Amino acid sequence: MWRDALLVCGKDLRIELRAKIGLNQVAPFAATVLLLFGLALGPNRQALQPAAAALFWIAVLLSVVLAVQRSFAVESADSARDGLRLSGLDPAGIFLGKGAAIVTQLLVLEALLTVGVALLFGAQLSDGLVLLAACVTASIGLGAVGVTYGVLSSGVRVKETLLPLLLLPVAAPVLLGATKAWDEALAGTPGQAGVWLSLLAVFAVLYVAVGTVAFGPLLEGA
Amino acid sequence: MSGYIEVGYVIVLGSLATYATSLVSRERAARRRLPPSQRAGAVPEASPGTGPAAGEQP
Amino acid sequence: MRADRALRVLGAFALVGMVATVWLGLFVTPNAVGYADGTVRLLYIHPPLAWVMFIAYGMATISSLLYLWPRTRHARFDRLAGASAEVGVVFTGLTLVSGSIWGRTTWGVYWAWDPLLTTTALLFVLYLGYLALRNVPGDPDTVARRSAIAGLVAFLDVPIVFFAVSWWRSLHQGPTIDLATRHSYVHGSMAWTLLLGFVSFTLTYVWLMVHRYRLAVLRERESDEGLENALADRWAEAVR
Repeated sequence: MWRDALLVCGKDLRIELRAKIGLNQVAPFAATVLLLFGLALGPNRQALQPAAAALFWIAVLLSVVLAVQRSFAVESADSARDGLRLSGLDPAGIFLGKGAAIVTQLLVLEALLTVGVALLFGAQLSDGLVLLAACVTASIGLGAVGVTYGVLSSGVRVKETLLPLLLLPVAAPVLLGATKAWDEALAGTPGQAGVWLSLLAVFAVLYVAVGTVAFGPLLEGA
Repeated sequence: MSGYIEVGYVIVLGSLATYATSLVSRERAARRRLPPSQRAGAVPEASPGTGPAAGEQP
Repeated sequence: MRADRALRVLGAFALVGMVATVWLGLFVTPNAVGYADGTVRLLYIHPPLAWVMFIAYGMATISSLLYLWPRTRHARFDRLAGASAEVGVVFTGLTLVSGSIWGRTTWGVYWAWDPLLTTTALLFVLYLGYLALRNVPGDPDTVARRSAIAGLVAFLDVPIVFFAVSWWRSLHQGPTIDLATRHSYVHGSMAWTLLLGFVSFTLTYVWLMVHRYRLAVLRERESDEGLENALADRWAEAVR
């Protein structure tokens, strides 16, 4: 399973490196989201700075939808999905591999957005450890649910509208936990972030487990 | 203030009544569209012995 | 048919119960007891609505589990899940409406991010997504399995959402629909009306769900019919 996971993860990341969709499209999309929020709420820092964490994570959440759609779009070209099914790869491995690829892309995106948020909204970056811990656990959770719902909606024609509708409500706790953890870190009270980080961790563990089990049956039916 | 309560009751009961009516009428319409042999039955726990309900597929 | 008549009897009881609840709730029970004037009357419909929402989603989840479990796999569980979820969504919406009115009369605002109502709102969109997924066309087995898994994934999120939102709200202690401390006020005719409310709404839920289930069966038969007719037409063309 782990070998298959590494295989799939490597494949996805290599495709991404070559096509650079993440760099050319998802990152600019996220940056645009931040800018639009700035336009809508600004220019006064009073409104933007307290909201920095929230806007950051909303941008991330919206970007996850794109990243997941992209992740499965590469599979639908030339019946690649059938190829995936017949390849003999362990479905759990495929799940973990695809998930890991998305998590990696998310972390890169979050690094970029951190700079963006510090720049545009005047977020005072401190307690980087908490910020990082939140990013890692949140991204793992988002990757897990993303791949789960991604495969579920990959076989249907209305996937563009279905995926966000399915994914975003389930991801609401991640949004809540990550935003609150970041709020505490940015406000200089990292100690308060503990409960939120544990929420993120529980979510991540739960949905990685669920996804690993559910991916196989879902792939069959896609 | 209490006006809101009455409105609330009306909305809740009205919605339930509307939903119930629409369900029943959709059910009747679907039944009418089927040939007579397939019309009967259709309860969750239908046992094999209840005659025309044998249309249920396992 | 016995089943039809049982259903009609159930419907009659549900209807009588609902009418009685409304009559008692609006006209008979006392008015201002510990809440803003008249608000207590919502006690007879809001908690019952929320209660039904929970058992509806619980039923959908159990049915999804039963469908996925190989030994109990049967189309009826898939239909039950779908029927129960749809009725559940209706009751969720009504829970939100009644809760919103409660907020308006108690705190002056239609929405105050009360943890229970916020969780309910998230459940609402969660299960709207589930229903949208069920409506996506496809081979029945695929739809059933896909929906069952989606239903379970969604349901697993419910406790997480609830805890997350509760923590979120506990940081800024604000208004909450606090039923626990009001308990001492609920006595006499109020207690009976409340109980009647729970029972009537539950009966109504069962009645609605059975009808929704039947609708699903009839629709399946219709599409099977359609398929058979199409096949028969093809045969006739080929033989001619």
